[in-house]
Amino acid sequence: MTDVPDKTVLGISAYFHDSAAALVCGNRIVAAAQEERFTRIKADWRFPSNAIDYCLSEMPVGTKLDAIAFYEDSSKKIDRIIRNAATNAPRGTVLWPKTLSTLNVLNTTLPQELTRILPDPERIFFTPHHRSHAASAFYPSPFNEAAILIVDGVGEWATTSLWHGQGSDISIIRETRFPHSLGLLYSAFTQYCGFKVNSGEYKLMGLAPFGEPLFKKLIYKQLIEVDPEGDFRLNLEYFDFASGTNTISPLFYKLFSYPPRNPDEMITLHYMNVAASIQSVLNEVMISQANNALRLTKSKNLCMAGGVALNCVTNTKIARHAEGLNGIWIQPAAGDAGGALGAALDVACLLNGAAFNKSNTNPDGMSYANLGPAYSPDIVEESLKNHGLVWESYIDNEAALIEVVSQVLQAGQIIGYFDGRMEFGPRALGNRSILADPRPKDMLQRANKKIKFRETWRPLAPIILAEQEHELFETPLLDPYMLFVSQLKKAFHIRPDLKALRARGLSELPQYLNRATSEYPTVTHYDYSARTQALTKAANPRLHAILTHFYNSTGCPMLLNTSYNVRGEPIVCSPEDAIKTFLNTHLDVLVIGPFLIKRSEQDSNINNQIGKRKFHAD
Amino acid sequence: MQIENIELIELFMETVCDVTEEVKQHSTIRAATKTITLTQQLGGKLDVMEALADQYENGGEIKLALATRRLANALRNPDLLLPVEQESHTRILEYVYPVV
Repeated sequence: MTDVPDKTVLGISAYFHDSAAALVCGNRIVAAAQEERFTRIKADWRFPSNAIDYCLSEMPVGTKLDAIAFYEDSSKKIDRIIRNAATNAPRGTVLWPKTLSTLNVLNTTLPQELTRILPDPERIFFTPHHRSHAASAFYPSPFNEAAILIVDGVGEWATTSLWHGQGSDISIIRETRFPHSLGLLYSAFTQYCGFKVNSGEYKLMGLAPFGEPLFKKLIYKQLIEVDPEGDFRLNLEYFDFASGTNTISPLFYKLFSYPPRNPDEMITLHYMNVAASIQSVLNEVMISQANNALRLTKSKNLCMAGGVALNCVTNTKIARHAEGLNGIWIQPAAGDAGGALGAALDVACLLNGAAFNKSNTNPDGMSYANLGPAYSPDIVEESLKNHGLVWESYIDNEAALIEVVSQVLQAGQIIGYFDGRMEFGPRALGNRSILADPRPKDMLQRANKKIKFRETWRPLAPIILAEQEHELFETPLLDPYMLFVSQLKKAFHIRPDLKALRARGLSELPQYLNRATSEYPTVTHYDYSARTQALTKAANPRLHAILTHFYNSTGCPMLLNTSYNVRGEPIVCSPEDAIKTFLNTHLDVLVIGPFLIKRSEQDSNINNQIGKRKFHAD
Repeated sequence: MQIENIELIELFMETVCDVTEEVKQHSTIRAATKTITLTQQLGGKLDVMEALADQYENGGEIKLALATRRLANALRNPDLLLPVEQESHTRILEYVYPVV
């Protein structure tokens, strides 16, 4: 790190979805967290008072808050909302109450909330939505120069934008505007396939490998027009998001000959094929966008953010196929939460001027996304006492804890693992995780049915020793953030594979279940892909030691690593959350800081609490 | 106390529908690429929508400026306070992309 000025900026995202706060001091990211983790309301959109309080509590000694950066230009967003309403009128009446309430929030509530923290309007900044994403993608990246590609649903007007980052400067190259949006296009298919918009996009991506892209030509012919430069336009006749309460219009259903899937209905081959088709289209359009970004900036590096950059299948296609690409870096908090961080970085750069030095920390400026709150052993112990739990303490003997945890995993037990600072972004990367041995054939069913309570056809992700990833996967990208997929080597495949299963005429999703296609069925999908997290010692020394012990004992260098929550619940934040989720599920063991809690050693009444806490399914 | 939905619809018809043609004729939309302060955003006005209305007026969008001022004025009516928490909670639960 070079000497940096110490201007301290609080970034805020709010009033859409995934509100968050971030604190930046000079070019250093001090803290960042999503509001949902504190309020326990998934994707909480409200003003992030709790996340702000947390970030301000991390203010370095001797510094003061110099500025606030909001992640959107609310004036431009109001402009888009009013123009959109006017353009579609008299259609859109049904959205009018919502429209007015949003206008009221942006016009009145937001300035009030911001000036309550910092009364001086000269020190409150509004960074445009895509500029916030672009700053979050470039400034923490390992590159001093890069093309920046931002793709999401919508912010103010932009839905896709290309930027060029050089040193402490980012500049716009071009943008595509609402209502033409790749994010909204993907969300439309998410709804059509029976998943919830804004949370079910991962499921659509996970469904795609089961199908064939039979509708790809139809999508290109009727729904999206793409020019050779990669720019695109949607055929708005088929969409309803601009003026209705649906993302898709009846014409959309007719185009695909079937109505939208009811969420309670079985997933049939038709919806698998639709999912495969839109995933294939997204891959192609995004590769084209990436090529365009590299060509226009004459860069060999690419940075990405925006909600679409959480599609790890597409990201991998770009990494493998974009022309002339040397390096790719994606902001792990690529969605709107990351906008808080980007806005803070952008304003820190603005305030510090030429003195702002872009972070050159290895491997990036994100501290492995460990930017949230941590809790002392005293606080953890107090929570354990309050719940009347029995625990083992390894407070002065980490080596013994590492060995015990490895042994528990080898015995096939499932662990809730809580340690250090909470991760920023949608992924649990080993500090708020559920861990297990990925080899037992029933582990996916056990984890999904008894702990996560989610669909059993969705694979979980692996955390793997970075040094060993090449043993199991083809030319891995060694990503620490689960933003790409790796392909399992053929030596670990099991017949029949997905193609053979499909050839047998399997037309409904349940028919695929319990048919392992690899030696690691818990963490590889039916197409042998896995959303791997490559773990280095620098990223998480204790977990790296546990995984190394596990590897030395079993020959398997990876563990199942899924977020520590149940379906519909935000990832746990505090020890209290971790204990409640432990009590609410069939987790066998809880490791929380230096303490280990075994379910088998607790009072016999402990199992009475399983399943008592309910969350809205995502 | 909330006003009835019918009054909201009337507000919609009286303000927004009236500017449809004017908005469609103006194809130039100012891109949002620069970071600005709250002072710049307000431009000396009391709130963002009043400042926006001035911009519309300066750009020749007279009807849109008028509609925006009427909306800003309507939003100052305490009877128009909408159940924001409930409204946005359903955003997540329903199958609607929250473009507004």
